[in-house]
Amino acid sequence: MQIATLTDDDLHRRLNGPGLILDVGAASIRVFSDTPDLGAAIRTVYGAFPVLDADRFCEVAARVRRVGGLRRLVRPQVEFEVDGLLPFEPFPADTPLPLLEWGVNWTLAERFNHRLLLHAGVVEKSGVGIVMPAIPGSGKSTLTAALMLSGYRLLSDEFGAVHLDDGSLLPVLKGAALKNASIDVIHKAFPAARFGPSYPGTRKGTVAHLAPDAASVAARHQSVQGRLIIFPLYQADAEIKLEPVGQAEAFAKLVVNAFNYELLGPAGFTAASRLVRGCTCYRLTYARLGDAIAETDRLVLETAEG
Amino acid sequence: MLTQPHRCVDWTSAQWDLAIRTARLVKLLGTAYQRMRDTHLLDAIPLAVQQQLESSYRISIHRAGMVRIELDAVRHALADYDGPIVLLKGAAYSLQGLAAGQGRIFEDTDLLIPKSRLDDVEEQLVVAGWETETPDPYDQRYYREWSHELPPMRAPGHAMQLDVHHTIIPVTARFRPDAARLVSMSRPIDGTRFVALHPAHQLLHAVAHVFADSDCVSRLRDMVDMDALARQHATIEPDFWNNVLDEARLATLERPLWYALDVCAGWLETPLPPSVQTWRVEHSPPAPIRWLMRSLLGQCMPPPSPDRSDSIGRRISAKLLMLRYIWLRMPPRLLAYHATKKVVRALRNRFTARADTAA
Repeated sequence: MQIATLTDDDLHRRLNGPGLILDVGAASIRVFSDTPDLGAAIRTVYGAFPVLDADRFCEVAARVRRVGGLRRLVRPQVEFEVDGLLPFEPFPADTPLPLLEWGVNWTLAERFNHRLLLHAGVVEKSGVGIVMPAIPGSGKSTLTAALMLSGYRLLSDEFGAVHLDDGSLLPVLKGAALKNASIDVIHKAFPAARFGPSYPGTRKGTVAHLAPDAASVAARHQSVQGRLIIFPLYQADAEIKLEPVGQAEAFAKLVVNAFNYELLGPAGFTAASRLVRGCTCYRLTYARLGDAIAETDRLVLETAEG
Repeated sequence: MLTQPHRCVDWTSAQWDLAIRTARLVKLLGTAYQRMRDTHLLDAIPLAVQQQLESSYRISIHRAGMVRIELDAVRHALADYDGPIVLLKGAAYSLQGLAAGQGRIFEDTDLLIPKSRLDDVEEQLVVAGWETETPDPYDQRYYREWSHELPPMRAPGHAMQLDVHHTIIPVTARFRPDAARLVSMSRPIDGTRFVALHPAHQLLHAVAHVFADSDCVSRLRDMVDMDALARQHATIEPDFWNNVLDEARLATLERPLWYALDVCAGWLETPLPPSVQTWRVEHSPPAPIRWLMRSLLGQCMPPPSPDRSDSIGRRISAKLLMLRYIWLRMPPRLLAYHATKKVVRALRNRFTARADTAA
């Protein structure tokens, strides 16, 4: 049974009772909430995920709840709580899903020190794992989303969870958060793409979450070896351009915005080295998504054969 | 998970879920990792649980490294100071290689300096770049006059806060351990420029920290420290327990020690030799007080529930323990001053709340 089939009542009972379980691959998340709109939003974005029994171990137990007090009459708010901790200021009550997503990401980043946790999008095709490091303005999220919608398996749009021993990548499969213009770009290029509600006016502008597809969800416990590291660079009016990047440079760029590279010390260095040594690294400058996808397809073909 | 790790091998995943969330609340995951590893049980527990323990343990290792970096910087900054630098709590456990330092999430670095040299040391630290984290003049005065430490300091770019103490509990408290004795009996930590408290003082410091200088609420982590210290020192230190009892008497910390041993023996099965058992009988508080403290500590000392808010019993007990703490910490005049202030503030808040509701 999939989350998409749950009724409003089912969702309400789970969110207000033992929790709704989201198994995102490398971790399970238990969600509690008394906010009325969150259940339906989760059903859209996580529709392809299985409905799981609440009697299980979860790495994260997250709660999104309405803030009490008189203020709710004037300006209703929701807050994110994890095990008694409130890591953020409350959000406006009409943005429960962005709050849940940010909160869970924050918590996962705190609790994933048994893996090297890169800040990157990760996809896979024909056994070729592709890491796209998150560099602000690079269009990593847009390209990751576009690749999933073009037949790639999505592992994560946010986290590259690297196994410390063998450097393989594990899925942390969540809704892909697209912002502002990206939402329209993806909508136009892939009219069938399934999005959660659009939330205007968050701290990062308008946010909407792209639902992971059934194939990615079904494979969420399968790790993959990284074979390509692509640094996307979106430039309006640029010609498509693919340039090789040296492994040392790629390594430096990869670890500099990892969540826990420094914390892991030598173990982090070893894991990152293993990953980078197994990869060919490129910078991909593009203006049109179609070109970037075609170029990535070509690289995958080359890598899978070679 | 801590006293009989082999018993959790049969836990259901729902039991694990609650256990890990609860242990996380009181920062005991790293310690649980260490216990499971040392008893070779890690592979017998679910993989996801293992990974969460490992994740926390890795934070602990990283923070221990930060402590060492901080101490190295302190050593350089105090190159011209020839007095003793006593490490307290986690920093000492870690450098001494004690079990109590394993899996611990180090939050700051604590030093003890003889009071006569405090100005000297503070000045040298400031010259070397440490800055106070407490700019407010009233708070500064509070620390300097009524506390047992300088206002916390931090050097720019350093991960760790530095707390420089001149004694182990606030000077206004009813208990007066002799700081000079703490320093004179301290012992060098091999291969370092630092010294650690005498083992008996080390345990008594942990005891005083909870039972003479806190409201005891959710302090299981501290009890686990005391248990680990007691077990380890008792095996390697001749006369450890006799020293503990003697020093407790000198420092007027017998009652706090009694409560600590009561909890350690009752909950954590800390082994106590016959001489200590006899002492416990002789020094027991009167029956009504014993009963009251046991029930208050039983309510408040364990971790809170991760899902439910505190029960009425726990909330009332916590209030009573807070009153006990304030009573212990403040002389009557200062207490009266603070109490009046608090009552006035509470009344004012209540009126404001009523006005809000009316509006």
